[in-house]
Amino acid sequence: MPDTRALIAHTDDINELLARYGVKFGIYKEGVFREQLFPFDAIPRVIEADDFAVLEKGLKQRVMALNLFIADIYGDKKIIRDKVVPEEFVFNSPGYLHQCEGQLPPKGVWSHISGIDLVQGKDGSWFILEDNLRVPSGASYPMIARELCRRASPRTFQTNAVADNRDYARLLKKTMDHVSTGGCNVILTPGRYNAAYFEHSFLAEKTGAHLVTGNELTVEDGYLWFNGYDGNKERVGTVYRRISDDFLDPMAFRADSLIGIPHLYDVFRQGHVALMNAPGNGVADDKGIYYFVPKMIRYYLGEEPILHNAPTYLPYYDEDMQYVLDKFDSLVLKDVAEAGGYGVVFGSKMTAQQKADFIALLKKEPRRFIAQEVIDFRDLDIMDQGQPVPRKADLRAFVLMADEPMVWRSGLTRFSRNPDSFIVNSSQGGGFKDTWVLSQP
Amino acid sequence: MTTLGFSFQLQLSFSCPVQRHAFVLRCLPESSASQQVERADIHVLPRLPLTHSSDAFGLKQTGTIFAPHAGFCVQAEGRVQVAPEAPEPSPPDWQLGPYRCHTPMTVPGEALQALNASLKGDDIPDSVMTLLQDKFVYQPGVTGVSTTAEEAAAAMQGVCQDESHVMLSLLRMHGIPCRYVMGYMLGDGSTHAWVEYARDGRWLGLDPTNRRAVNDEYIRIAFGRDANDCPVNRGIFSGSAWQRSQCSAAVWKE
Repeated sequence: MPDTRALIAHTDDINELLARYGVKFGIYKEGVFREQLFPFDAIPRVIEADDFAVLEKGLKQRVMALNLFIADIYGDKKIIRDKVVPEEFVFNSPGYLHQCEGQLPPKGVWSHISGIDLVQGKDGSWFILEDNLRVPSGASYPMIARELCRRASPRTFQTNAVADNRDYARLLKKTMDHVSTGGCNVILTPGRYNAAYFEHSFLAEKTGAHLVTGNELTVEDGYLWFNGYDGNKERVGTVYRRISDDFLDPMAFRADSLIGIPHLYDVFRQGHVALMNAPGNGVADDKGIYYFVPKMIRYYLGEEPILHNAPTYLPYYDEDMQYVLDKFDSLVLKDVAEAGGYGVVFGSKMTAQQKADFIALLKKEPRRFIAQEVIDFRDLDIMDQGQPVPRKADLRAFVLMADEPMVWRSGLTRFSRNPDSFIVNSSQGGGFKDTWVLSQP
Repeated sequence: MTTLGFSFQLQLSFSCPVQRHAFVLRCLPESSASQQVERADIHVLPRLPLTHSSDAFGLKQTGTIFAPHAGFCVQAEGRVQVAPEAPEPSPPDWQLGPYRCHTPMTVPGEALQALNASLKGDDIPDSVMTLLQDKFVYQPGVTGVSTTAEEAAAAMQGVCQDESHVMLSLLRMHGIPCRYVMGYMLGDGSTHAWVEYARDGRWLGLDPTNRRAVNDEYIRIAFGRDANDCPVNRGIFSGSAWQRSQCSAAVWKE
């Protein structure tokens, strides 16, 4: 275990600086927008070099398969012909966008930035919890935290062989440049009231991209233009958009979107701008589709999955429904349409009435839910009033796709501050840690 | 083979000038197995060059009017040879999933379940046509563009869009891939809607509103899983103005 005592002594200083830099995230609760600090715990999650090597191989494999799946779904649909994935799981998914049928994104990349959530079991084995392919956020938090940690305790990073995580910006820029159709890179933000606004501005600064809102971009003559403050127009080659598919273009998706850019989607379809991540890729990160990812890896790559899913059951299949009903109290149930830790319930924590109601709903809409075994997480220590205490934590690993997938040698470790909670999402009040990948065995 | 002429007009008037008006129009037919477009023209006012392209729903003409304007006028016309005896080939069955799955507009509720239970006969599209013929009342003004199949089925009245949605929903309840078609029809003063379902590798057209199979009096413009996929005009503008819209279409035999 690396020596981090010197660093931990600076926890409060680092949190104060994070607050001053505006490292916050916002949440809507009961209709009110509130910005919250994202509490940082200085004890890093440490991943040994050889352990990370396995993760890296497994993550690349998974993201390759997910990309092939999305391309197949909006193209030939061979995986459906071969009955590996039932069509109702695909075309009923809210992430499936019929508008994207026949779409060919630049260089064939659909998921440029994938945020893959994992947990580590008590025995050290990793499980995939979910794949986030739409607009996964969070890379900026460990980036800036590392910067502040280095400043607070430089010795810690001289005595420990930690892989530098500052290259995220380089990987991201490479990803943007790879698909660019010619012109500048922009990061499209919905604005400062977005939960991840800090991240948008931070990544723009680090990659040299323009940070823009929808009204600074226009479509003219079949291309996308950035209207600078100086009155000059600059052609845009890549849009790293941090707004969801629904709001991207009111002409193609939700007609009431005021933050989107009319006709942007047409420009993309014509191959005159790259959108990352590509619209429609949410079809692959649906919680119902998650179940099928190991099958996709075998189907598209002809390989055995290196990383495993958490044991998952689909009540859609009779056999699985029976298992779920038998083992209800030991399972966690997830509504496939929800995200951010919402729509997650534990069988063991329901009253008899809640259970009866839930089972009735489950039988009525079996496709809407998945059930998973509750994994015995390996807890990570956090400092609580000067004492280390164990808490549940997960890891969001970032995989970026240029000519080949690249795994960032760091990641966002989120933890639950509540000792009884398994839910680590920042929107549910959790905190975060830096993730150290050791550079030598 | 029949030659049909068509004209289409759309007139939007705004209560005060609007700007940055972006639009997508779907009012020109595309050549396919069952229709050969001989001529198709479109003009808009204020004048601007239109971008012509096609997507998953058919042909479209798009543009943005940046300058303030108080009205928007679209005029389209052309000539099409129609050959309903040569229906369009449909993709292989495994690619028809999007047309087999319900959309929010066609998800069945109790009214559609009950209708489905009352279907008689082995040929589902045929039975649906008979059922709608007997029970559905054509009644303009009681439904709107966002009325769902379930709402229309509960009231059993509405216009061509509603009747088509009810039909789509019933066909999908039987796993029959089907799509919503928007186009022009001889004798209809505006745009019309009907249904195509895939059978034996072909798209077959049924017009539930007129209780008949699609014949040589129809011109297809756009198609989708439901009406939301392929409106004749979709627009967004800045300015606080009320919008009035008038739409007319005509088809004649040449």
